[in-house]
Amino acid sequence: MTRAIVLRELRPFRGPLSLVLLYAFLAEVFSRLSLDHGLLTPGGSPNFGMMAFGGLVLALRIVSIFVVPAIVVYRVVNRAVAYASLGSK
Amino acid sequence: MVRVLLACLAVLVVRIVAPLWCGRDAEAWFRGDENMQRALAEELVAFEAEDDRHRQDTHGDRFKGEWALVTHQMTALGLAQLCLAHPERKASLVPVMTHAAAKAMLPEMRDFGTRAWHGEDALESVSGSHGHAYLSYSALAVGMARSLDPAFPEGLAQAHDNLIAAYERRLLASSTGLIETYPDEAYPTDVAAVAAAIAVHGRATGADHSRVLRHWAEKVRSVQIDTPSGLVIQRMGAVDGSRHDAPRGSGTALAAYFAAFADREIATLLVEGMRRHESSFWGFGGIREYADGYHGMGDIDSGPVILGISVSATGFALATTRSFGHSDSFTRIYRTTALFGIPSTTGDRRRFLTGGAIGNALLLAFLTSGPEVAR
Repeated sequence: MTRAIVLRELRPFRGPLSLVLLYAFLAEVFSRLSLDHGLLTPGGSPNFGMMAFGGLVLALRIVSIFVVPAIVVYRVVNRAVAYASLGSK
Repeated sequence: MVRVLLACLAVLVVRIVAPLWCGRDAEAWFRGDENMQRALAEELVAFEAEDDRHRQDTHGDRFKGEWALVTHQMTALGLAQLCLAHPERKASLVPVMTHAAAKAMLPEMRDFGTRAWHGEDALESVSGSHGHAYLSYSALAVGMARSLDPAFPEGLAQAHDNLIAAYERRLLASSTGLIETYPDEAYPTDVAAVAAAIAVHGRATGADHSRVLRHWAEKVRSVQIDTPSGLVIQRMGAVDGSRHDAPRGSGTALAAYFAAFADREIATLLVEGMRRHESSFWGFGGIREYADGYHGMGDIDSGPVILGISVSATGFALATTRSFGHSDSFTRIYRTTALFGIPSTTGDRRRFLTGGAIGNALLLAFLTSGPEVAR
């Protein structure tokens, strides 16, 4: 199997993988930014900037846990079925 | 047809993998894994140290008010529960616990209550009849610290004695078993915290509070619980016991945690009511905020209410599902907490990213709940 074939087969997974990597990166940034008081200011009122950022991280987390695995499974099995049917011909 | 089958397969895999992934720590938390507990405790110990530094900075924006009170209170309770579960850790944790409990009693923490009572301070008015039940949260933390700290400060112990005596007298005088948090507003959950504070004071000092605790328990059963739902009514009239709000999950779940310090049977009753309002989907659990037939929006007590599920009630439920041994419910609810809380480990510290200090303090208290329960 050549490198070109491997790259071609991995291409459908670049998008989902990018989302997971983006989530991991932003979660790390959020982790460092929220070390002190998280989504609250010291006075107890919401820190709206942090809340918006936290919302984005949370949305990416949900996509990474529920949507990405579904897409990956679908595409992996789809390719496997396609190869199997080619082999049988 | 193949695509439909593939889509079904993908959904099935996610249905299995997502709850497993989110709940991968649930068993360790339920079992009381010491490393897990220690790492979250380290986060709160670091928070208290950072808070002290902010406090010394007179120009800084200090962490104060109601949420700060709860943060210090829950940190103290969580550390106290850890000390009970792992006595060998007392030497390092007890000083931090006592300090956090003492901070929960500071004037700037209880200012919100003083303002609500038109300038009347809870500790300056212990001979009066106004309830000031909000300060029982601090009193409970102070009581736990006092029961574990042989070097507990004498001045704070005296203030604690006076406050508990006031709560005992006010509660015994109440025909509804309720005392006010704010003028004309009583919350059964806050009164459960009052009962917990009184019970723990008894453990710390040897004082006999059995009469007032029996009175409170009898009134919880007869006045404060909505019989059809098993949930406590969120807000009531202290004098006549009239309903000012619906029976709700958030109040019940937190009341169950507090009640467990004072009376195991009442706590069991509340836990059963709460568990009847658990909903689950794909292995993720949550507690519904409103009893059947009631509807409402989210508020400061419930947090956001999404599809009827209360964020706060769901988090609060971790405590008693763990301490009363409901491992299946605990696991489902922990999965939801982990999904939205985003647990993260940095060095020797573990925390939940979206909760901030208050969320982590609450989770420390709830995820270590068990050793504090009345026998």
